[in-house]
Amino acid sequence: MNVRAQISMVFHLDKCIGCHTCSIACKNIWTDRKGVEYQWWNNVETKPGTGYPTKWEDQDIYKGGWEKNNGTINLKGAGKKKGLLNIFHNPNLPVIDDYYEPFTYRYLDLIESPAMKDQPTARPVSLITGKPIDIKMGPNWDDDLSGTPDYARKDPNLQDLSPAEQEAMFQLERMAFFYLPRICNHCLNPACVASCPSGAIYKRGEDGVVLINQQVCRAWRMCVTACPYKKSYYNWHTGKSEKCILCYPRLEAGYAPACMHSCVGRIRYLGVILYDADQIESVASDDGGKLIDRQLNMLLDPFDPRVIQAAKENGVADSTIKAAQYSPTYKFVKKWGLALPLHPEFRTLPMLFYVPPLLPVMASLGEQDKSQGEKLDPIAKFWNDSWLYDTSTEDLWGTIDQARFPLKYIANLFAAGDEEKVKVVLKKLMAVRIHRRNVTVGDLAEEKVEATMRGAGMDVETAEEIYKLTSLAKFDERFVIPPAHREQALEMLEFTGDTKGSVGFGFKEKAERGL
Amino acid sequence: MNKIFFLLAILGLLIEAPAIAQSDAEAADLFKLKCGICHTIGSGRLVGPDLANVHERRSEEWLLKFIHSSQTMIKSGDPDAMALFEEFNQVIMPDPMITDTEIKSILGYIAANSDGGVGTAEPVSVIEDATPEDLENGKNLFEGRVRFANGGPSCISCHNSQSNIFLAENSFSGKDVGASFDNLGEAGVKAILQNPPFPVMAQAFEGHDLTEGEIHDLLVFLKNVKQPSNLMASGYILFGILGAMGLLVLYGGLWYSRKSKSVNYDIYKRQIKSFN
Repeated sequence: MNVRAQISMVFHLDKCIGCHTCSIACKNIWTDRKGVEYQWWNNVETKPGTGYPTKWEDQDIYKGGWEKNNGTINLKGAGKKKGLLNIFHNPNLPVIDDYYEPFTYRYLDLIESPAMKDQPTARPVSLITGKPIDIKMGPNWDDDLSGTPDYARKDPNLQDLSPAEQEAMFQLERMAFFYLPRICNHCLNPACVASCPSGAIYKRGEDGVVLINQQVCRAWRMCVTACPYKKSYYNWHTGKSEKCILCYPRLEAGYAPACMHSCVGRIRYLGVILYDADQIESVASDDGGKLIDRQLNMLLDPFDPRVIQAAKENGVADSTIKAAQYSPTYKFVKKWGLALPLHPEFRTLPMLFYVPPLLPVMASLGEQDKSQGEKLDPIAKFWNDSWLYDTSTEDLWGTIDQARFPLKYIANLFAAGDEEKVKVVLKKLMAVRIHRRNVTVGDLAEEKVEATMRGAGMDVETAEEIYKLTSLAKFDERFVIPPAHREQALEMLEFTGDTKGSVGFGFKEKAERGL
Repeated sequence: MNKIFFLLAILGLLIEAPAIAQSDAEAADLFKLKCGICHTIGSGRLVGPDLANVHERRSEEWLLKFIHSSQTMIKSGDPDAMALFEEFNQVIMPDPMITDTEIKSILGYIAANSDGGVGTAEPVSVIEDATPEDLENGKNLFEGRVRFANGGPSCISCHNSQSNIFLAENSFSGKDVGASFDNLGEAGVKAILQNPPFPVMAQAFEGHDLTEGEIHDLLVFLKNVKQPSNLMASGYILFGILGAMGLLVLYGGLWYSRKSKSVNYDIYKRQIKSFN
């Protein structure tokens, strides 16, 4: 057992309102520079939709991630042989039009324009060329456009759905969508790290944050191809690749990453999970369809004395083990089994988990009110069926099967197409909801509630715990950040006694007035 | 008085006659040394034109200038000089490094001998009886694998035989001598080897004359140097074009499934453009 610590994330999609505050927080801190204007280390997508860059999930186009190959796995579009063959050519890179051409407006024209017959306008200009452009695309161009033929219907996750199922998803008045915020998954088996010819990308030992060393990066851009989530980007100005750093300077200071800190819906959770690094290769190479189960099995119980022992032997700090014991992500992922990884079939073992959305909202309207239909214009469409908002407990599970979103779609996103996996999670979520409705409203039959809970394998205490962490959690419960112990890392690099007793504060670079 | 005059005249003749005779002999030697390699007087063209009656065809001033430095004249655009250069396969006439007086004496010699033939147009070939050993030895001498008996520098120090087409043409200071046989003929090459008329070559071989055997073997080698065949005729260019097309097809096949355009291409194409 090779126990290591990983800072993992959970995004609760039922709580995401798609406000993009996370994206803006990230942009303002990290990607508000020349060469990275088009990069959104954090972005929020509408699902169904094609996302950013367009159709990033379609690895037939971008050749990212790992593919199974004779009992082991190889990178789909990079790696030693393919990488060397394509090193100067790199044919599967996304182009700027796959992201979007970043733009701003000439706002000064509005102020400085002399008096004219017409109102002055602020023309859009490219942030790359500085010349006026037609804005063709933005980082969330398909925002809320679910149902459009250009975006939602080209969602790669629809590929296994029958035409009838797809059609049902996009019917007027029945159509639904949800938001999918994405950052770097800080995978356990990162394709970007494996693909880098310069060895510039590394996974930090103490917390598993994946970083690109800007001094070693040689702009081969293999990571851009290799990352199936397209979360490694090329900075065309500096000639280096960049990616989400999980705000590690903030983490080291005990703050939550900016996207998480700023989250309006409080959908984000962050905490340490201990895992067994010896299993990475065998789990990632799994071909029995048990990829998710085995990935979750790699995550270790931080209360198990043997795990604690092995962790200590491996140099994991006591404070980190303690943080792992309080980790909200461990609870969501392992203890409650509510969160699933995004596209586990890419075999990178992502450590960002999602609580899938329970759609549609199953509020009870009781009997269909026929008088509503009578008030409508005769040509207006009126749904005459009674199941649409019917959440009576008798056919609760039937309702999940017949949800507006086909289970297959959610399963394609979070469970490599395994509908049972998703169903289990949705049942649990539903059970918590039924339980809480029973507590707060009390309009449900007691035995129905119990049957629901039993069906989901949920007891009242667990349901209450889940409810509390989901709805009432305070900042320190959502983000359990282990002390970074930078002082130890520093002492490994240099002997602090060297500077003891030397002048004042000291300078890393020479002060301008000279010393 | 008359007797004295007569005696003086005799004396003058006696004094002058050897002088004339001597200058005649000198001019003949000079001609043989500096010109006879490539030119004849009245025996037809060799490497360069037959010089019989050249004093009648050209003005003395023109001849002086041309003989001093033909290339300077050609470069300055003299039409006659350029015509000559073209007529004689653009073989460069080396500057003979002689004084005006010497040139004038040679011109005098040419004028005096324009009726009778000096030099032969069809020299007897010495390499008819060449053996493969001679060829091999000539090659070795040229390439410096075997030293010249009198210590002269090997030809390859300055020259390229072009027997190896991969040698860059201008990587040597001397002229590519591969084509020398065609242009100069055996007599011309032989004369150059016996008595180099080019300043650098002459200096290099001063006191290091080539032996008859060496000259023979070198001539055999130079005659047999394979000239690079005509590119078009040998299909090099055709091969190149077909090869390039073949490679393009191969790469097209190898990267057939590559991402060739933006995923959003179709959407962008539809959009109305306001800027060009």
